Amino acid sequence: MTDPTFDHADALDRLRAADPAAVLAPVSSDRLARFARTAMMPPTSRFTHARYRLVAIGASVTSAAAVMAGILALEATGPALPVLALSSRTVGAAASYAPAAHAMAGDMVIWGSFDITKGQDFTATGGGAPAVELTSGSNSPSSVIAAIAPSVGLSGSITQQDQVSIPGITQSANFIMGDPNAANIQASDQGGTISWSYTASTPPVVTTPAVGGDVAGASTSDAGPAPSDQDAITAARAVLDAANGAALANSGLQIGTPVTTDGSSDVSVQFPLVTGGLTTDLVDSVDVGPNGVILSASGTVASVGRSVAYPTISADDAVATITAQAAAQAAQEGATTTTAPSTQTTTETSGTTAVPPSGVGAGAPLGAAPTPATTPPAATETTAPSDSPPAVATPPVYTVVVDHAVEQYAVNTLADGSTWLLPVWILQGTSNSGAGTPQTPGWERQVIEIDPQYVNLAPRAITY
Amino acid sequence: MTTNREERFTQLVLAHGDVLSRYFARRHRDADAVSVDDLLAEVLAVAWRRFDDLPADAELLFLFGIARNVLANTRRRSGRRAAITSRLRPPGPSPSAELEAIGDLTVRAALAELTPTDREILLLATFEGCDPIECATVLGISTNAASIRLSRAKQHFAAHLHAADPESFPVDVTGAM
Repeated sequence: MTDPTFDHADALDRLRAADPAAVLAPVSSDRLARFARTAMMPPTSRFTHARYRLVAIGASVTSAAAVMAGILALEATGPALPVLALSSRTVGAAASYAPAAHAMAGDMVIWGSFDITKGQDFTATGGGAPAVELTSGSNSPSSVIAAIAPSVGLSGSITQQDQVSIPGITQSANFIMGDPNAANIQASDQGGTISWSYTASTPPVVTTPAVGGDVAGASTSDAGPAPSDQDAITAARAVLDAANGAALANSGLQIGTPVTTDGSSDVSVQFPLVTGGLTTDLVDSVDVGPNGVILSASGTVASVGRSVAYPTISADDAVATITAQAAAQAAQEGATTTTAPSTQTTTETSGTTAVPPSGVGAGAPLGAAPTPATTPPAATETTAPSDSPPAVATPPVYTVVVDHAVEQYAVNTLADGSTWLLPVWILQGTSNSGAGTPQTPGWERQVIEIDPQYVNLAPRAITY
Repeated sequence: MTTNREERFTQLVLAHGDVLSRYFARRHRDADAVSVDDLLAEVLAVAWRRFDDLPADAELLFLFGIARNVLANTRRRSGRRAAITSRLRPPGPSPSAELEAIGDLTVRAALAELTPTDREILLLATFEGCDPIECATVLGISTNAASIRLSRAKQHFAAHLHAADPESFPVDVTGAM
């Protein structure tokens, strides 16, 4: 059944239409009631007293032996530096860290594989930067809001926003000056950095077409020509100077070279933050409208704390690691292909021939069969008889040539809540699509530069 | 005899059980060797144990928070199992479960280009219908951060969708990147 309000060209409509749970039948009340009864049943004890004593003794002996073996092993080969345990809330490069086999999941095109090679003229810039801790220093969300307010003509009291309190879930307190539904400045402490944002009024204004119903909208009230890039940069810099104030001058972070994006009536200016000569993935952003009016802004205030020099991997090693992973992924794609469902086959005839992995659309457990709403109009489907031999699926191969590696910093939150800038290799190159078409912009991936033995990517234990 | 507490919990399950089941159906991977029912049962067992902590005005968000943790634990266990079995066969990254479950290849490719954090909040907002404040509660981040992350995720998703299929999705938002 086709949704009459469905807009094929709307990104979120396309995503909603792809909801794999949309075709599922509701769980019946009887079944849910059974779930409830099961959940309320008291847990059964598995141990008798005698068995408990036996197990306890065994566990004590085993754990003592394990501890001793661990101490000996650590003394013999373990790293002298503390291991950086990245938390599940980490941002930045952690998801792109290459040594673990699972690390690239979600970071690459899923249907298809990559053939990655190092270019003959491969070059690398930088290398060996230390890990750097970020702290909020003497700044607080309130002090940052107070510093910004005069530069955007806002005044008033600063209040802490009410948030739903969930036991076991730690939330950063959000502070605000102004009306949440009109002009306001908000800031929160993210455990080492202070994140802030300013919105001029409603409807909010962005420089790009609105995608959804979030904070983005279309400019309706600020008619007039966009400012020149230089004027926009000057106006934006004034806001950032106010936000960072004296704190940034002593923080070890500098504002880097701005990048502008011109809209029809405004200019978006983005300033990367820089430390130790390396660009970080912290970006301060300001949208400037006609006459230099600040439409919106956001950024980060932080100070550089400890600096720890960890052993690092070379750019060549980073390329080799990601190349090996791509090859492993390609091998797995091949395995997936050979296990494509044999009872029913879906073939898309929109230029490439493909069988969706995991049998989606072919009697998959979730029943996520393509519908007119989820399939582009150009694609048609043919369903082979159930007794036909399986079609040969050919996943597209994306050919990548890595030409350059540049060292940068990426923000990561560790399991202990501290925030660090970790050096990463930004691998850059050219890529062809599965059909051989050159893709722009070029291919780019991050690999954490710190030696893998000093980085623990496993998520921290989760307790309720 | 059914107590008032048990009755309230049963009503909670009747009200939100189907939503939780769909939450897992969108994110669950068959290869994880547990079923959606197993995951739902685990969430409800925790919810019953923590029933007295349940905030009256945010029951579903509380349950989403538990579901998110249960899913993370399940994936971690699967990761350990995969690490053991990888000694027997060539290791390799596998697609995330929420991507495996999506049949629109263009949408899937665009989602795959997002960072895991951007993808998570985009799916929460789109599939579960959470607004930025609710997303912030589930993810344990500030409302401000959730708003920024959600807005960024939508822009990036649209840009990647355009890049993956410029004819079907003609709006050029690559400038948003």
